[in-house]
Amino acid sequence: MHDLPLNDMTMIDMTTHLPAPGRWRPVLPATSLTPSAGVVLGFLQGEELALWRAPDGSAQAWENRCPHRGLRFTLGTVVDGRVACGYHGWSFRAGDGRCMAIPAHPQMTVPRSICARTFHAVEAEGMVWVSRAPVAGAPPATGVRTWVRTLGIRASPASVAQTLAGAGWRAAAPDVLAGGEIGGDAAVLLLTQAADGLVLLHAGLVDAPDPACLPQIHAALRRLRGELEAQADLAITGTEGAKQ
Amino acid sequence: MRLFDYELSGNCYKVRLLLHMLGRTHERHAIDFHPGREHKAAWFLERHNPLGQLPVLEDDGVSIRDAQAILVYLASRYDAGGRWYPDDALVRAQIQAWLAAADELTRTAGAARLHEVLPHGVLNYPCDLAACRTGARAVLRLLDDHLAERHSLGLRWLASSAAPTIADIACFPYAALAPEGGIRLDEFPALRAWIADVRALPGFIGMGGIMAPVVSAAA
Amino acid sequence: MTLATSDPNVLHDWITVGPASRLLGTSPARPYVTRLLGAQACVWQEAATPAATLDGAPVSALLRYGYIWIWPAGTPAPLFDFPEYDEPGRRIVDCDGFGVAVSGPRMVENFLDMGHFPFVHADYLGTVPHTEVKPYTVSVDEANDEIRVTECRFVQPKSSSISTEPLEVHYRYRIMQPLSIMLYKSAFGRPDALDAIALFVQPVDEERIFAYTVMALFDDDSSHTSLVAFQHTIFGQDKPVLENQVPKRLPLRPGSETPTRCDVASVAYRRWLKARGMRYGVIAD
Repeated sequence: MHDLPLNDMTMIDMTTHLPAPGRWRPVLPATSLTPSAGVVLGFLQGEELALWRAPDGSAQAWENRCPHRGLRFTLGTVVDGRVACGYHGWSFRAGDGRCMAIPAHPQMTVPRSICARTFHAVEAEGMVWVSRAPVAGAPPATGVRTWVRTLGIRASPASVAQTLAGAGWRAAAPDVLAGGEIGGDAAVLLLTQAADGLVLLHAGLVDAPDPACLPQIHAALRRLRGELEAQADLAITGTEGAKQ
Repeated sequence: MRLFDYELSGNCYKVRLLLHMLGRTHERHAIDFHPGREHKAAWFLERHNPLGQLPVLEDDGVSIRDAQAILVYLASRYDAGGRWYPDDALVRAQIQAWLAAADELTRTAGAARLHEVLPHGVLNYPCDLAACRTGARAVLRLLDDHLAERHSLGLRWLASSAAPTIADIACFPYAALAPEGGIRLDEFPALRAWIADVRALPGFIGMGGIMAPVVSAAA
Repeated sequence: MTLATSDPNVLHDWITVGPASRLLGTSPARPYVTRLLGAQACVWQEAATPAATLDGAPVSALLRYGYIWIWPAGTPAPLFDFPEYDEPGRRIVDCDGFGVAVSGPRMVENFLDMGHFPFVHADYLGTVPHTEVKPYTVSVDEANDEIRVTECRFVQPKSSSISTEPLEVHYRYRIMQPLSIMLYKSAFGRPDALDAIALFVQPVDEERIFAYTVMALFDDDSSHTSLVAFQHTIFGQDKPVLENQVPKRLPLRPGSETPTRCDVASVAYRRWLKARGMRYGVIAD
């Protein structure tokens, strides 16, 4: 048995006695999960997630699909501390994601097998991280004090990572890029692979910014997005050029 | 007060939404937009709107056309609290700019939606769907950028005021309905958060395609 | 003609391509153009009957119930009956239709479903807490190979454009083809009569349709516009739900989705499609 710091997020694979492999990936800033936000869309390696905040304050991450007839949970609402699917109102609880009520049959005890497909979720430094499999340990430290915004970048993850590396950003951890500046302030960028040629770039600052500087920080982020998308376009046209 | 209206029109819905927020009772005169094309009927063109477009508000015998103009009229005349169209030069200038963006959204996201929603043979004018979608994404990105900046200042609405204004009402429907035109909102997280904020407003009503949040159910 | 599918359910049957009104002003040089089964369909008025091509090849066409029907391949058989359409005393309301980015079978299954009334059609066809779907009966009319769903009841606050009180409405369903379904509901103010509402689906391709509604009603009071507006409202409420079901095609393998007791009709529909060898717009295995 390996000598690992165990916490309640660690599970052991009983066949190998090693932790089941898993890796925390950044999904969205924790401030996205407000009561009015309801069930929020996120992504994990291109797959859609439905995220929400449970009554105990913990972040929940599920496959974005109700097991009944496949409606995205993001069309549902958080009602009385559970997710109510927008189609037939089936009500799913936090934690194990079990369906607890089917309104069409108010007297029925719902079979335990009917549940949302759940992922592991944890909050650290104001970011929600998700993993398919249990993970040994906490998400990588980012050093971020303030999350500024998330930008949609129309580019592939490889293109974004390559362009940022070329601009002096270094990978502090998988999906975590540090060492650069935004608008003159030390910054950290987290990458989420969304669907179909889309990357969600979460931009954070190491120090709390002077509010008067926020407009120029946002302007710098929009410029960065422009560069990332221009490089992605060049990569596409470059490939087509090579084919000729 | 009478509203010439079609249930599935985002522009008509804007006016219904503000009327509901203002608590104004009104008569809803349903126009057979599809398949009847009643908005192009001679009586409607001559008496209410030569452009043959919805919505039209008739108040004190006067017909007012253009969704954005109707929002300005209703907020100016009937909003006792002065929240929806505050009497502040800068805020009004900001609102005006967002009303123009709302118009652009109608021409892009709204047009793409119409093209996808109406069956073949109904729309009798050509529509460059790809151009509409590209144009829509440009306006949606503008909204997302602006809202992201507002959020990092602790503010939630389009104009510089603590409460929503007609700028938010004007831009909301076609932004929220953009997916019906084949424009996904995955890449606009701040916009999606704002859409949820609008839906959470007291007095919010939905339309086909924009559900009002469910009130606590007996589950 | 080389269509992308070989599914006899859609090739050897009548499928609609829209209301007859599309043929106004058409000629061989200026046909009504639409898409069916992933191919281009052209239809025009030729003397008293419609003429049509599908993917460039001539196909049989007929006008019935105010709609244009095409038989894509082989020798046509009769179209299903819709006796209420010609019944005296009934008012025919053609609501035309809308595009939906989903498969035809998902659309039909939604039309069959009552459990969503208090959620998707809140305050129109249902309201919390009146969410219970009471047991009902499903059978197959073997002679016509149609599914019958009977003895359905649901409490509705505003079941039509003229009702003002909540009441228990009686429903029946009849599935005539994989892409055609009729619902019958107790007519407001006439306890012995049933209004008939037909849904005809045009499969543009496997994941995109036009859904048309024709009603044969006992209602002499409501305006045409209000009747159509009510149906359009209901449709508009269903559209985002249909377009956000994953996958878009209807899975036929038992266990791929999770039906419950009130889903007996949709289970029967999926089994019926599987037994018929349905492949278009479904995930067969």
